[in-house]
Amino acid sequence: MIINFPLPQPIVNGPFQTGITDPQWPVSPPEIILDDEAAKEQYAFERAGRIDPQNFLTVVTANVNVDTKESLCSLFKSLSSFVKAQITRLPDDNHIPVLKEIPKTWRVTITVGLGSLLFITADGDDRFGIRHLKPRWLRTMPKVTGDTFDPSKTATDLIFLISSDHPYVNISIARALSQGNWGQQGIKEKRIIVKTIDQGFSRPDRREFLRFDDGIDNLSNSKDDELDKFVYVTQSDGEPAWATNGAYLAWRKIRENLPFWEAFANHEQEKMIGRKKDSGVPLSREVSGPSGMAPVYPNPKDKADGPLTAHIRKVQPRRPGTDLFGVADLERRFLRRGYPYFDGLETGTDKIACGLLFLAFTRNLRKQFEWPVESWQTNPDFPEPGTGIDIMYGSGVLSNVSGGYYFCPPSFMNDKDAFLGMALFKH
Amino acid sequence: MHHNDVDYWRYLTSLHTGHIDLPSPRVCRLLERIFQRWKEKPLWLDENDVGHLFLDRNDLSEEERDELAKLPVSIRKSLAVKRMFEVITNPFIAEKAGSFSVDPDELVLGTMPPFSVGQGKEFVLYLTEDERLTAMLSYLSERSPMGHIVPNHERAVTVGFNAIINDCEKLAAKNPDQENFYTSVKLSLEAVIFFASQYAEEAKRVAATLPDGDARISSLIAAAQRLIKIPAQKPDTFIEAVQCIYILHCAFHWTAEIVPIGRLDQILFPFYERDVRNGILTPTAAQEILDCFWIKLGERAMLNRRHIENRCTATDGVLTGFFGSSNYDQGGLANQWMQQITIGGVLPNDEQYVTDASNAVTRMCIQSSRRLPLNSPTLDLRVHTDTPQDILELAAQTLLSGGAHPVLLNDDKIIKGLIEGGAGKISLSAARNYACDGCYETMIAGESEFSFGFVSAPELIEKALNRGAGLAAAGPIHLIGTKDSWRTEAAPDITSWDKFLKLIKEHMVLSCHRYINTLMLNYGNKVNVCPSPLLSAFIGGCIESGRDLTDGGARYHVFSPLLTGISTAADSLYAIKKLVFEEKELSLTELLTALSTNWGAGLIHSNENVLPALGIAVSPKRIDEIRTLCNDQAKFGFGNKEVDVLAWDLINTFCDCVHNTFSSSVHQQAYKALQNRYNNSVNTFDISLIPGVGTFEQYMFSGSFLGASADGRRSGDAIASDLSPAPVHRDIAAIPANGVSRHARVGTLEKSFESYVDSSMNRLGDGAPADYNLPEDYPVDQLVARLRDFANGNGGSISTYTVADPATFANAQKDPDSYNLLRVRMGGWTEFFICLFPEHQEQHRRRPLFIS
Repeated sequence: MIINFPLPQPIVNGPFQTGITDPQWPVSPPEIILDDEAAKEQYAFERAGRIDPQNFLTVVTANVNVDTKESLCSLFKSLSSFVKAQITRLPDDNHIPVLKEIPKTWRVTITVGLGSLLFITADGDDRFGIRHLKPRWLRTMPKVTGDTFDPSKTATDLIFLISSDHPYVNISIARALSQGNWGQQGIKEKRIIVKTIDQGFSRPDRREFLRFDDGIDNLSNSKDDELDKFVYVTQSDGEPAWATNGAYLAWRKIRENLPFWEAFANHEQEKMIGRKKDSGVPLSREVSGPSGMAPVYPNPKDKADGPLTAHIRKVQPRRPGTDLFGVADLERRFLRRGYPYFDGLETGTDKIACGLLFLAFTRNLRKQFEWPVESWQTNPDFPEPGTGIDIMYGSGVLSNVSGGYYFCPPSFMNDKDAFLGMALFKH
Repeated sequence: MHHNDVDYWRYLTSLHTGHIDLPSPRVCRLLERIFQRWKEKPLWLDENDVGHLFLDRNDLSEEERDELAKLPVSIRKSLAVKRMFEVITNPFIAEKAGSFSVDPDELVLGTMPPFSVGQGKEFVLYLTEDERLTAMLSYLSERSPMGHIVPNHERAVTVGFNAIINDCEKLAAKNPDQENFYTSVKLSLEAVIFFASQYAEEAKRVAATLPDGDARISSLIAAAQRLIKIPAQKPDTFIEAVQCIYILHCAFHWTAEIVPIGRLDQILFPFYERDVRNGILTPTAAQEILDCFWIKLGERAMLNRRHIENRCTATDGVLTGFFGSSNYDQGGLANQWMQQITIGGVLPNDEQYVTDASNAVTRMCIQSSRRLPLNSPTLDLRVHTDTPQDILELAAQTLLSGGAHPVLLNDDKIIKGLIEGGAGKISLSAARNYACDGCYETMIAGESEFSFGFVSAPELIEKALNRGAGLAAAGPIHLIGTKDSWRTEAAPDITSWDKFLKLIKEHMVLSCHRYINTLMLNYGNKVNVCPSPLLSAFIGGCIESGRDLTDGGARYHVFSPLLTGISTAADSLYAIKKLVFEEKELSLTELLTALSTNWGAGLIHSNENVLPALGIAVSPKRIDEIRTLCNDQAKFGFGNKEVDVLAWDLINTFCDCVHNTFSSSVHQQAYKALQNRYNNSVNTFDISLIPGVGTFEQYMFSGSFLGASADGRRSGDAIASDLSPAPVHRDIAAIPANGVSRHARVGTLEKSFESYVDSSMNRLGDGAPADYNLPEDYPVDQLVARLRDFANGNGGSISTYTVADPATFANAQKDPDSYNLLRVRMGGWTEFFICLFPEHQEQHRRRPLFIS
């Protein structure tokens, strides 16, 4: 049954920056299906409390071209005005044929992240006198197995995640940022220098190039508000006070070697991922969760539940009990908000350049992202000596070609005088 | 051994619950946070936030400022101590400076300052402008306390501050002349009680931010209750005692007194034993408390030398009895906090036969050092013939875990040296109660003041060769070099080996006289500038005599003249003896030209002539031949007795010189004047000169003043650390290119120990470390056997062990992040290799490798 619900909209007046956990489907099913058990079950699995990412994502990384705290503050104010204007702007009907229907909104969100270099450079210089306010776990992304780039060389001051339901909206905003047309009219802005622009898109079926459903077991607020709890910093996290309601972002551009991947038979691919390709059901003997999409691994070393190097076993072993920190494995999950990308041919070759723009939002970058990557996914001796790393990277299907760590400050949309990182400048 | 934090965590992840290498979840969480913290640039106090006690204080009225200015310096100092605690616990400042925080996982609360020895410090100023100028004429200021002595933490945990305050009040009433001193101590102790109470409040505040049901709430509330009770009252439990020591330790370090911990196992064991007996403590819980304590002592380290701060001034941490601007090798001291913890050894009694002092806490301390990959605290393990075998096994395992902990000190040799240096003034029980400070310097725990000075052995050889001048500056500007000592016979007139040795001794005697003279002239000059009322409360003799530490109040006055560069000197002497005086392969004048031109590098090229600035002409080719000959000679520290005996003779001569010059009539008048000034009804003022051998981390600094040496070393290059075998010269690759040898200079511990088995080692009460580099695959059973040899006296007085393959060092230089837990022994403490400047790294790479 196909039921068209009104799309959820960006939340611009909340405590969090928009574009992280919104647009989000309501936890409760809409009235229209309250009497339909099958539809309610489908809703609970696919939508309830989950994010509904817009159709297009553009990732823009940039450095600031200012050198004092005051000028940084001024820059952030200007950028915030631009961001607010773009988010609240209504679709333009200029030159639209009369009979062509356009939606009331392109659901534009622009999420801004701050890199660690803003707080202290790789050379140890406190550029703006704000290093004491650096979020605790923010740093230059460490290099890990599978990286074909040096994160310390590609780290930037800022990241903009531009999302909307129309590609040209994203392009327009990205162009404005890169060409200096985002500030005062008629003045070419030179206060930020765009370093990279990457474009991604989503498919209605959520499958990406590997033909598996990406994020099938993603976080949802329908489960005890876990989406918000796993993504946003709280005052008890030992973070600087200003960081409360902010979120860490781990961003990676993951290259997928499709000819290589597609040479594997379906059943081999399923073993590499750890799920059935058509249904997404885990290969584990037991399953749990809505529609049985969450695997159960009573013994992390038992191969009867799937190969130990399978992607989903290496990134989330789901062991019972707690680990050496007293943390349950499931507390180390994060929100995935990935988009496939297609860059055409790799320069100078006949190889297709495509893959995933991977975005992970976390409340604690170390606990929820870095630890799973370093201690599970890329640890060749986990869960037992000689296991090998995540086979998706170990076999060469995936490689990371770009990325970085950022911190997305709390919302600056909910007050007309508010601006990005305002609390950094209060003293 | 783990080279980096990722590998460390991966290893811990592989362990089952209860594995001895696996710390508690709380400790793991704290450790994870400090790993992150080490990678970041430490926060620092803004000097303007620290400010002055009364000058420019807008929050005080003019009358209040005037009143403060009129107070005695000692009272102002104690008020500055209080003011400092107010500043660093101010929430606004604390956020910027990281000076005051409580982590919900902490069992032991407190925050160390970032004031490492190399980075300097901030402290509230309290002198008037005239006083500051007067002090500056002697290179002193409020920042001049040197700490560097072992406080009596036992007093802190067995008495409680209120009791000491009561004593001070009573003694002040009985001794009006000492009222200012007692009042300054009282105010300082009250300031620490205030400091502790701030942590109690903060713990409660943090607890209130945690979600309901969080188990850490009750832990924080308990921590707060402890800090309401202590240090005002004496601790009653193990954890209270640990907390008491740590909060006092923080208080010392924040107030410019950089001091160590002392004999921790002896101090804590009574609490441990009682708690276990009463069923309120388990060994596992005690280990967790100690692990937390270790982490608190190690949390201020940094891994990136670009994060070093320089707050040192010309007057920072001035050595007692020293005159001159305070400049030392800060660049090699980034993570040196002087946080020595001494364990093991013998009980401090006067019995004929020694009783081993090791206990359960001794073993726990070693465990903490083994399983936590920290650089600080530095663990100093005293050993002797009766040291239990399991202690040595634990020590060997700990060393092979890669942290260069523990340092081993041989009690039999050190105690003999302290007794000899004490010349009847240091009792056997006091000597047996020694503890390490600073780097490893030995002193009577909780009862000594201490300072030291250097005499450079290679420099003495330069002066003997070069008519009293050093060779480093020989050339067009200074011609012969910088003149510093007697003008003794010229090289052509030094016709025999004995004559050469006699000249060396003449220069050595003068150096010792100068050291003693400077000490006598400047002793006591700090009392009106930077008294130490807080530290005085914990140094035996001060409260009893009513005198500040800087005013001769301590029970013992230990000063250590340190002979440096002995291996360079012995290697050079051996080359000279053999090549010049025995085999006559070269003349002393030829050698002098070779050295004064830095092995030909300083020859002057003019009109097709290549000549030295001064001295006989020697061709570059001949100089190269001479250097090759010198390089090829046997070296000290590898069991070559013909070389080793020269080092032993140097040490014996030095010890004799120290004691003879001190008793010389030249110094008696000054000494008597000091005694008249400082003798009191409780103590007589007796200076104990306890010789030692040590460069600490100054193997580069010391080498930078030296010219080329006859062992083949180039001018300005580093010398060996402490009494270690010399490193491979800087211009020779540490790893030979032959693809076979692991290192350019290889030896075995068995043979090396032979170089230290001599009675001369028993005369160095301040110790003489041999710093060894071992490969990562050194067999643990063989290391245990060598440590047993050392404990039994078949080695030197102190030995340290860095474990790292030569290839590991090379790789760490190329890829620092992958070696962020690689640690090396700096001669006095443990440093992260990747934090070192490249020249230091090169010296470590060039240290000989001792294989099994």
